[in-house]
Amino acid sequence: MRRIVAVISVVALLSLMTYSYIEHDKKDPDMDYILTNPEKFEGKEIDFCGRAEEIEPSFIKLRLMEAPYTCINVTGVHSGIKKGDVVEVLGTLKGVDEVKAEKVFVIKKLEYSLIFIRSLPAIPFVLYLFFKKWRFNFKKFMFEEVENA
Amino acid sequence: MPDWTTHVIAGWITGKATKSDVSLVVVGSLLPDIFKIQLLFDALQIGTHGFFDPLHTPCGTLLIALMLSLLFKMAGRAFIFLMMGASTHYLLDFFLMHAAGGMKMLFPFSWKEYQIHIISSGNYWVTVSALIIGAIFYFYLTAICQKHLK
Repeated sequence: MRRIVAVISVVALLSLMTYSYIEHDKKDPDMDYILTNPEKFEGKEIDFCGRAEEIEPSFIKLRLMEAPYTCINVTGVHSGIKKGDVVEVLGTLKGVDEVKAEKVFVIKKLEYSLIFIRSLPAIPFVLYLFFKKWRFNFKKFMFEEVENA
Repeated sequence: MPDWTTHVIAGWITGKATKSDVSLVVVGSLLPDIFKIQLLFDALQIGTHGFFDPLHTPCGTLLIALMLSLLFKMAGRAFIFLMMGASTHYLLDFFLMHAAGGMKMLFPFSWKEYQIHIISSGNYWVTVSALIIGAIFYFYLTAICQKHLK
C-alpha cells in the first residue's frame, strides 16, 4: 500500500512540475520568454526582479536574477537605489531592454544577504530536533523513534 | 521569504502549543522552501522555466509531505504534523511584500497569485520578534513543567 501511495505521489508531483514547465509561458511568462517575444508584451505590464548594476540619473540598469540574466534599463525610478540592491519592478515593457516602472520594491544589498545569514542557524536546530527523536533504519527503509528521546 | 529561523520558530511554537511532534512540525515548516533549490540554478545561471515552482504551492507541498510521511511508521500522524508545519510557512509567507505577484495558492487549478503585501523579507525585526516570542514561550513552558513536577 505504501509503495502504491509513494509511486502515485511521485508521479503526481512530477506531473505538476512538468505541467508548470510546459504552461509557464502561457500562464505566467518569465523574462526569458518575454524578452524573446517582446512584440507580444510591448506596452504591457510585466514584473521581474534584478540586481542594480548601474545607477544613472534617468534610469537604473538591472541585471535579471532569472534567465536570461541580461540587463534591463528601468526608467521612472525615484527611490534611493544603490548598486547591488535587489529591486523588484512592476512596469510597462518598452522595447527589448527598457521598462517604465510603475511600482518598485527595493531590498538593500546588506538586508538581502542577511536573509540568508539569518536562515543559517535554523538548519542545525532542525537537524538537532529531528535526529534527537528519529533515526533512519536502512533495512526497513523507515525512520524509527530513538529510545529515550 | 521570511528567513528560515522565523519559519522554524513559528513551527516550534505551533508544535509545542498543539502538543504535536515538534520534530516533524519544524521540518514541515521548511518543506515549501525545497523550492529554494532554484537558487542553485539561478546562481549557475541555468533557466529552469518554472519547473520547481509547484514545490512552493500547497498542492506540491502536500505531495512532498505525503512522500516523506511514508518513511514513518505512523504515516498518517507524520503527514498531519508535516502539513501543520507547512501551513505556518504559508501563513508567514502570505504577508510578504513584493512589487507584484504572490503565491499560487490554488495551483494547478488556478495560476492566480495571492499575497498580502505587509512585511519586507529584508525586515530583520520579524526575526527578532519571533525569537522573543519563542523565548517567552519556552520559559512559559519550562515554568509550567516545573509547577507540575512540584
